[in-house]
Amino acid sequence: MAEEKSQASSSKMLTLKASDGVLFEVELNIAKEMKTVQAYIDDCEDIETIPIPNVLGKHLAIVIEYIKKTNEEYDAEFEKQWNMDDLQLLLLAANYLNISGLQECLCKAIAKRIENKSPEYVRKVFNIENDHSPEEEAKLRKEYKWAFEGVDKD
Amino acid sequence: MVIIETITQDLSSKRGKLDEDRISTLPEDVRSKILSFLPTKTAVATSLLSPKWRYFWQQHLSVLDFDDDSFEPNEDRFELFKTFAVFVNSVFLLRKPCHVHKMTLSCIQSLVDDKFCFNSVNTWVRSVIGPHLNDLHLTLYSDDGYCFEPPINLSSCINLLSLSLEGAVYFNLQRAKGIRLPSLKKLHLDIGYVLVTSVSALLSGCPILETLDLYFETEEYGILCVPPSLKKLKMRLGNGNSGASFEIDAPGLKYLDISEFTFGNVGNLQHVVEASLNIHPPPGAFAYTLVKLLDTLSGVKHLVLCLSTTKWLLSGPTDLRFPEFQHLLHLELILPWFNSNCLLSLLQTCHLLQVLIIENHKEQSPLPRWAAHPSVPSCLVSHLTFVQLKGYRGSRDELLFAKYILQKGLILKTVIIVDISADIRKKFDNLKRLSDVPRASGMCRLTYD
Repeated sequence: MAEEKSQASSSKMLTLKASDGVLFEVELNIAKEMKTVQAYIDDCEDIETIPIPNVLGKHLAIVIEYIKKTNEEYDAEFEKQWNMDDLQLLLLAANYLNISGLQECLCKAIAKRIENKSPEYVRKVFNIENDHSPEEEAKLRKEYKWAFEGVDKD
Repeated sequence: MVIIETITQDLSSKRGKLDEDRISTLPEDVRSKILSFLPTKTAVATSLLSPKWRYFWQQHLSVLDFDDDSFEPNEDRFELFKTFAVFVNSVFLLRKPCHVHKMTLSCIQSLVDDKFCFNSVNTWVRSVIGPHLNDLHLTLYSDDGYCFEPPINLSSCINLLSLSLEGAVYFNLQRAKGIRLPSLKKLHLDIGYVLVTSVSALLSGCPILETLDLYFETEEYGILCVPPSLKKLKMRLGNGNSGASFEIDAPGLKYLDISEFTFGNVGNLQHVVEASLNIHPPPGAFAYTLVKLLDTLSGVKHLVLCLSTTKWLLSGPTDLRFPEFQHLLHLELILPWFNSNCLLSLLQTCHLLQVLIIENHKEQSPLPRWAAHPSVPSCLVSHLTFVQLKGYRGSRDELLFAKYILQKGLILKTVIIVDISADIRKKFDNLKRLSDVPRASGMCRLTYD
């Protein structure tokens, strides 16, 4: 009896609704990789459509594709395709949906883009506002002089 | 295609919704994860990004990655080491004490044989050793007498999963016997001189090891014993044939690459899928011993036999029975001399072969002829699609073989001949002889170099 149930559920389809209204029909075992979705299903068993309020359709599509295809080779190529904006939004999506493999892949990708770069470069890349006054910054730089010898030229 | 958008806007101007700082609003554990993939130098530099980021790295540094190559190069190695040491020591002092689960330390440009270097590296390693350490990678090169000895308390790393030691590293037998790494799955050793028995002792302390990548030098006639848990094994001796041999009995082994060792004892290699062998015969051993070894590789799909191995194989009697390779798809042979009949005898046993690559080193003159086979090897008729002959000189025997392949290879797609004749005219001559041969396969493309 338990076997029958699991057989039926592995081919069951679920609908995910992105924040901009785009609908995605996915197999249950794919949706289960998103732990947030899994929790939703656990709470309300008969649900057919699950709202994903924080993720745009375009990013949800990428996330679903990742879950289907992930392996070492795919991951290595995956991260090269996106600009920094998309990487961050995908990371926010992966974090909200609680998909550990994708989170790790994206964190690695973001780290790769700022490896050995100066704070000025990193601020530009992430749009971080520099709240330091020039005096504060000069003071900090002096304090951290030991950390800044030989950084890559941007 | 990598697209990195560098926003060139005035930092003090108001920003629209599209230009949000998303990274600073990511949850702490996510930002911490990003930091864990950064070289520590970059992680520390985040303290300058904004007041919000000032102390973040200090609270969240559980992965350390130190590289002396990222500092301003200095002809005076010791001066460079001092600058590097100031950085490393500051990081250790400023970070909040939280367990380090991964450390990478790479000193290529700066180590010298001085007490300061010696003590610094030892202290840094000692401060991360413990049950929380999962990954440790040490790359320590020096152009003088500096040497690193793994500390005896390395055994307290009961959860160490991956260990890499490269460069000026040495351990004696007693030290090796004292090291136990019960969780270690991956070991990479790329070091200089060490006794074979010391390496065996170290390996015996790693009972669940799955991946082993070994390179060292030795002068000892010892036997290297590897753990039976291995799935992937690559081992090479750095100083040529020293007589050191091996003992492998690993039922889960899938990948095997051995170079410059003398053949010892093997068992349970039927699950090996990919193998590369460059091994020397033990004194007085006949070729039939090698055949027995190849027989145990009954499941192999991808096989590379290098010079020492093929020399041994071809030194056998001319009616030597080659092992049956039921699953072999890809075969590469580096040969001491070319013998077409012997090659064809070998092909008779590789029924499913798709790719054949031969490199002729022509070290010796051909030995007695092998008997010609009446029947065409079945792989030529039904499976072989790619053939490459390197070191081709157009000798009569080579030409015979190449012609035979072209004439009988029913489904050949690609044949590549790499001709190393010095004389251009001879090359052209060789090319002409081959291109005139009628090909059994309509799709066969002959590429001549």
